[in-house]
Amino acid sequence: MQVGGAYNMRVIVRGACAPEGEELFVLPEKKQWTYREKMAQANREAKATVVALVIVVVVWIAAGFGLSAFDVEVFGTPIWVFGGTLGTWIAAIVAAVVLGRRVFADFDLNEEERDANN
Amino acid sequence: MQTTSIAGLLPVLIFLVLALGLAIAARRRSRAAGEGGFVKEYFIGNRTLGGFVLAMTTIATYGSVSSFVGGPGQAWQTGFGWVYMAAVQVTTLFLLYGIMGKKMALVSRKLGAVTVIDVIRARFRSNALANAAALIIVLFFAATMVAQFVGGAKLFEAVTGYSYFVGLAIFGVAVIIFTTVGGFRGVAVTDALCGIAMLVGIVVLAAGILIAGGGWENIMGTIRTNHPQMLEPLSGGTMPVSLYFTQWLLVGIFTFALPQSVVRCMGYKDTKSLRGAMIGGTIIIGAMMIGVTTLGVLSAGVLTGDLASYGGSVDNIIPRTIVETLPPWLAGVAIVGPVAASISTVSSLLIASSSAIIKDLWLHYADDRGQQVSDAVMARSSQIITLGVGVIVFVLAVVPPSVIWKINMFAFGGLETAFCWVLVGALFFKRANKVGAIASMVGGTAVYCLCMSLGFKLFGLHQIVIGITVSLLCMVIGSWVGNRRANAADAAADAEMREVFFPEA
Repeated sequence: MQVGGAYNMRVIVRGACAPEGEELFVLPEKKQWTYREKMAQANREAKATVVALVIVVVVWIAAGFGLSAFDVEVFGTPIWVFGGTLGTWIAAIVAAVVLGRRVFADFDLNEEERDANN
Repeated sequence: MQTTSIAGLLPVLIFLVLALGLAIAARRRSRAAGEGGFVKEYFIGNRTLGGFVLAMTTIATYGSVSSFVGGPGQAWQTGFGWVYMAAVQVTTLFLLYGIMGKKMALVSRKLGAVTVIDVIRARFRSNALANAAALIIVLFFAATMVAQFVGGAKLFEAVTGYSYFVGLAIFGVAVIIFTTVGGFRGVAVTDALCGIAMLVGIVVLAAGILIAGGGWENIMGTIRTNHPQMLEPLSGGTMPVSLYFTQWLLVGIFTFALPQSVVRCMGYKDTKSLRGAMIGGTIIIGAMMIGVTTLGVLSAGVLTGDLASYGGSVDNIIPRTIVETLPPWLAGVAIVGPVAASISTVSSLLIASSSAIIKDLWLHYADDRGQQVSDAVMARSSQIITLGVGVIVFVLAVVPPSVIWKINMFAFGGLETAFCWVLVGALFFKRANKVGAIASMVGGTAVYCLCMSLGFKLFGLHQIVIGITVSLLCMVIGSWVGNRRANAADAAADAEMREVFFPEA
């Protein structure tokens, strides 16, 4: 039975240590995605990506234009330069990692690939 | 004029030989792979790209000679504002993979699609739309390829002293051959080599500039003395907020719709590769784009004269910098970077143009008439077309047009205008239909090109704003009209299409 998560298989054991047939442990089994579920997941990823974009834009503005209001320099270079460039870069990397680890799901992309002549 | 030196020539020659070797190896690999037929192998590499190659081919295809010559050249003049603007490109990978990545992979496998136009045709069921898309692709790609050849050859001439034509011939012939021979897979792996070469080139040039300029802080001092506005984001008025805004649109946000990038989302092998490419690629593209554009700013600490003394064009800055800060053999290594950027873009656009002609135009019509085309004929024709388009572009590049950066941006904006809402509508909005898509692609692109050629701007903003807005309006209004005119026959065909594109509905 699909329970919408990674854990699908429940193991019932009956024996000396579990005379009533108790559930002793749950084995994680790879979820089988239907095409419909995969596409729904792709929609989720797209939406999350747009949110991530907005966040990076905000960081870009704050770390560049925002910091340019302060007259501070490092290595003879105004800090807005580092903020606007390196700061944005780091924000994008964080966005990519969060999207990749938290939002993106793994599943088999293949099913029966239709021949172009079908 | 730079005196010719074999030392300047050798690194590029070695690099090109390596690329040819890789393309041949890729061809052997694809022969061995076998299954799937010629078209699927030649145009989408049998969907086998792993994370590293996926990231590198996306970056290398996107990063062109203007990223290495025009962009930094502009930064020499404008300052850190240009680097701040270039930094928006760090979003391009996660945007592409996040928005297009999964859906394109799923839908293209379901349809057996090997080109972006295949997907568009299946979604909107319009040959007119597919033909328009193919025409736009071939025209804009041709313009971009010429610009890449020109940029690479000019740089080559300025640095090595060998003539423009010699440089053009050397890497022009090489890229046409390895693209024809290697197909999509060959292009992808040579792109990975090119990406590495681009990074190496940046590091070498960075060393040259920092040493010649006396170190970072010394260079900052020189800049502060001569052009203090280069240390401000608005650069004394030459980088207004409106320019930042339009550049965000042009080289940041709407790049996800570029067909040469989207097609890569149809060619990777599994979800893990996508994730790896997204994270690794974001790291690499940031290093590359921020790094190379910063070199432009730093070169102001070495090239302290005014623009006229450097030939009057910012395109001359990086070549001059390479020549003045590096000994000939290291200069030869440094130019491998921009040359690699140029040919990696050309190879990707060339194979995509060829796929549009062969698969989206010719093969589709053969299928329509019930003609079976054998793999052998496919193989021969595909390679002839790839070679043919390459030769035409090469010939056009022999007599070069004037400004590279503008041509590149013209094609960029045109492609984004043409494909953005068509692709977004195709994958994410059920209500988008054939009428809207045709209106969006044709109307939007026509208006964009008209405005570009007339120099017409709204509020002084780059024409991308006009193009994207018009094509969106056309999509919305056109789809509304189309829905009102829809009938029962449409509904039946629609149901089949929805199974593929909107199964969750």
